[in-house]
Amino acid sequence: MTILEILRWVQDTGFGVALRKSNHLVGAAFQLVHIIGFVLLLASVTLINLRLLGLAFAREAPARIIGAGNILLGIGLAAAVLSGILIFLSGPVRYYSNEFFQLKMLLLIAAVLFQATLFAWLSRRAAERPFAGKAVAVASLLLWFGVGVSGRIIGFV
Amino acid sequence: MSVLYDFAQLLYDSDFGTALRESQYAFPVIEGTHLLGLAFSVGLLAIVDLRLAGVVLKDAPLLDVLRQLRPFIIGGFILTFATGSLLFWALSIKLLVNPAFPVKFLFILLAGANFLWFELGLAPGAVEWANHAIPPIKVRVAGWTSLVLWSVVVMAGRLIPYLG
Repeated sequence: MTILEILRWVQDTGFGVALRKSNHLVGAAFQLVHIIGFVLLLASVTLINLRLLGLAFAREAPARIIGAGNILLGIGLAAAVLSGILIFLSGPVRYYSNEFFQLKMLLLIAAVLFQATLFAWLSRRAAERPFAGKAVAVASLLLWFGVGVSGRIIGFV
Repeated sequence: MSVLYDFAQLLYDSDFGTALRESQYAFPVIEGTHLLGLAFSVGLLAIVDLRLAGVVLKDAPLLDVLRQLRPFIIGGFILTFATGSLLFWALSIKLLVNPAFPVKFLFILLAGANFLWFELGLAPGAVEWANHAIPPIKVRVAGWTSLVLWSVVVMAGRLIPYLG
């Protein structure tokens, strides 16, 4: 089975049909959770990276800011992903064929993997290796804001 | 009121407004930049609000959190306001008749009033509580109020295309 066939099947399950036929304000409610989650996610990413770049909280240990930021990042990401799955299931075939949706998903996967591996590893060593800390901070900002901006464009193409 | 509508109609019919509304890329890019600005303005402010509420960064001095993030929050609000003005230029008359739009503005005003109460009423006494992990109740209330009001602003904004 191709991905498209699987998505067609998902779309025709009782759950998929119920989501699609629900009042458009139900879809709007998912969007509200999605945007609030996203703003919290992007703000946490910004907080962490401003510290790594030395642009804010230079007197605080990076680990302290990263620790607080990661909790908020987790909450924001969870809200955005859960609401995002429901939004996606309301029209999986339509979303899958949208090129900015595909870009958003690629950037999301890259951002999560990067944040959990290289970023987590190097940001913990930012005190000894400030340049590496700054480099991963810039990459993290570009990836996560890329997810947000490409997501915002989905509805326009 | 009709002056406002006349002005909106003027913007709507202007060459720039029409070009923006009908552009394939400029309009979505401005929407995307509006979101980016929101992350810095409302998003970083939410982190300050949570610190005021005594929820996060409790071991960081409160005044430090306020001062360190302030330039980025102000920069974020400038970007949000600039892109928001461009979006209004493009959609003006459609926004005025959209029920979500006045709600969004009402809550921006309420959030602004809460900010003034904090800046003028509470901040001058900050030396007494600036280093407390959990600030006094009035300060916590101001933090939660800001968080709720700005969240409503963001949500009302997101509802604009659904209620238009």
